[in-house]
Amino acid sequence: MVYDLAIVGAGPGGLHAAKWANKKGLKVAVIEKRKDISKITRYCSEHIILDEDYNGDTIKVDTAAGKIISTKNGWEVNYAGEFCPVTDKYYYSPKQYAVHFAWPDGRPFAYKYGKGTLLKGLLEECLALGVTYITETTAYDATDSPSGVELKCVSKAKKFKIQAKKLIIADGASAQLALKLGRNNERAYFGFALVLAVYMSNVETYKPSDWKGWWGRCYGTNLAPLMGTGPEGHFDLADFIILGSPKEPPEKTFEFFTQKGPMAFMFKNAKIEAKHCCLTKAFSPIKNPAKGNTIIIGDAAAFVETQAQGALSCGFRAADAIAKELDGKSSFEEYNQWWLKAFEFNDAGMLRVVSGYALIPTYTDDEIDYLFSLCHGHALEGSWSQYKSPKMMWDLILKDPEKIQRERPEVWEKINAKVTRTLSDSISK
Amino acid sequence: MATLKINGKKIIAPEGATILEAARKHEMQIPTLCSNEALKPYGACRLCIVEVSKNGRTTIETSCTYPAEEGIEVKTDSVRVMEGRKLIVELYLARCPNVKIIRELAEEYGVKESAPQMGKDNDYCILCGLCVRACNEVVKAGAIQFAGSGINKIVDSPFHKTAEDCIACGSCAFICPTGIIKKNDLPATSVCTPESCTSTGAQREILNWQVEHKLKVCTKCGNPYAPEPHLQKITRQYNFLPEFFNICASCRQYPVVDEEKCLGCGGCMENCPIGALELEDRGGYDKKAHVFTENCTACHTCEDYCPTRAIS
Repeated sequence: MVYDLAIVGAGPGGLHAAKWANKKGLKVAVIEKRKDISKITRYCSEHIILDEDYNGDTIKVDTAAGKIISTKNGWEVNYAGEFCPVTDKYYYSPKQYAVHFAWPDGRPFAYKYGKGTLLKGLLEECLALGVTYITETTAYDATDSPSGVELKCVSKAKKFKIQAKKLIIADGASAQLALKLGRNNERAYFGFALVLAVYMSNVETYKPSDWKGWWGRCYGTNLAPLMGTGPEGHFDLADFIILGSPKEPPEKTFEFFTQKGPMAFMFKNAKIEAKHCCLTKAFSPIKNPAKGNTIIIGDAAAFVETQAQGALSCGFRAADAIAKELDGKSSFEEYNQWWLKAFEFNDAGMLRVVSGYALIPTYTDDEIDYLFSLCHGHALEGSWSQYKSPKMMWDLILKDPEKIQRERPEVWEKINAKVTRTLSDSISK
Repeated sequence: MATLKINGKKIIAPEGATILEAARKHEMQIPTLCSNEALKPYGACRLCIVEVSKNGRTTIETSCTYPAEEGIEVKTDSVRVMEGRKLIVELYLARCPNVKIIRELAEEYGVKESAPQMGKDNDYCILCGLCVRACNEVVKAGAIQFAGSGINKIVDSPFHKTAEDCIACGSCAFICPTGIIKKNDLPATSVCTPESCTSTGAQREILNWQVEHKLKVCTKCGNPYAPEPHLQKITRQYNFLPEFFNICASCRQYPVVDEEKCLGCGGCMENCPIGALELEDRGGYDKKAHVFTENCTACHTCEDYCPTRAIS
């Protein structure tokens, strides 16, 4: 049996591609490693981001109708779960000077949602349409074959092959299949970060609508600890996120932060409800994800992450491109052009902006206090974007350069030396 | 299912079983030279003959090829059977007087003198075909075959030259009951002259088929452990990763999951190059990684990708 399209990975990208490819009349098979995709095991912060033109799209959320709507790519996804609006974002320095992001009218710039619920809905739609869903199966290698692509699969130690005319790789940030196909050769590997997320109840000062981060060596780590909204169904829990490396294990940082650090008072009565973790690999993005018989979509082709909304757009576009290709119209180039334009990380300059987060240990705690004090009391416009936020922050800090030059010449020197630390320095290889 | 009698004992044999299989299952001894569980019945050595009574007629049959039919009566050690076996042993002794297993059989059956020799004196091959069949049926290499006929019948490599399809797995030498197949594992050597030194790595030679192959060296312990073409064939046949055989079986340490530390994120599963890991769902948040050692190449990639260091 030869499928028109095989999709590896039933995440938002893979399932969305399956849905639209099926609607275009293709015979689709989705191969997924996990047994139940509605249970998210790999930690994910789960936000729909409303920034304008973020990831090449402006997303609208209809909380009443339970819809996530793309205004630029033109898709709509039903979501049966709850939303929690995120209205404020704070970056704190050691002495609690805060960089504050929020819209003046208090409207949210992101929604916390439940990825499991989203995927469950998408999967049900796909199954109702008649998509073949092969679960608990790993596609570990792909090769070209006379019919198009041959996928080598394994399920519970049993091996078999799947034939398809075209392939969509949506296996996420670990990019295993891209590696097997040699498509990672052209990418730079920055390293990986270990992530520990702890859902906690009774955390003082916790507000479901806040997203907070703490910058400073005094908090016990170079990578800022973050606190966000708990999982769908438990928005009352604080989601405490610690990044680390094998040398700086997140468990240790967590212990320090909650028991000894300056913020330990928040956790006096707190109780750990659940722990999750994940490992994030960072590669530079693939420049031409559509090539040969294959399109690599979503995180598998991206720098760290495309977010669910980016993956949904990728799936939508890729399904369209594959359908056109099978119709004899060449459209892979069009997909590649869209990919390069839509995602900020494809712009080398933007990657440099992201490293604007890497303040420690370039700046001492005292210097971070000074920099953040320049922002204290101003509200920056509401933005979630990891590209836009640091840029806005630095723009505000550098609004009066002469003042910094006058007051703290040594800080000014460091700023002028540009951020010499790269991403690879912050995370481990 | 068939009900039959062997040596007066009522036996129920499964569908498709031979008399030999049925008898051995009930711990009744029948001597054989050419039978092996991994191979199809062949009926070459004739040692397994038994007396079969069916519909009032009694015949001598080879039990390894005769099906365990409903209602038959079998005798494994009647006078006729023992006399027949003795004759067969006499013939073997005439052909291979110096083969250990034949001499032992001769002693067991009280054979003092061999049958008259017929042009073949002191051969070592009893033509049981175990090596040929193992090579074809199990290894599926098809490197050796019977050649010639009558008293000139021998087992040989094609055209009595180097057996090109031989992967030097050594199955033939392992299965041969007489020990005539000469398989040697040679250590690494270097030959030095005043001008230069030439070193050869560890090798396996099988003299009978004029074959010599390099032995793969384990990257962990440094010991040569199996011929390279053999490993290549298995790698192809079972879709293993090319790196699978970099380490030898004794050095292969499969990862173990510390369930107390494992938070079930699936990082190991996502990064496993061969899909040998999966998450065991125990309800709610309780998920633990599980390694399928059948597939695991012991590459320990998962270890690197465990955020909580639960795999080692």
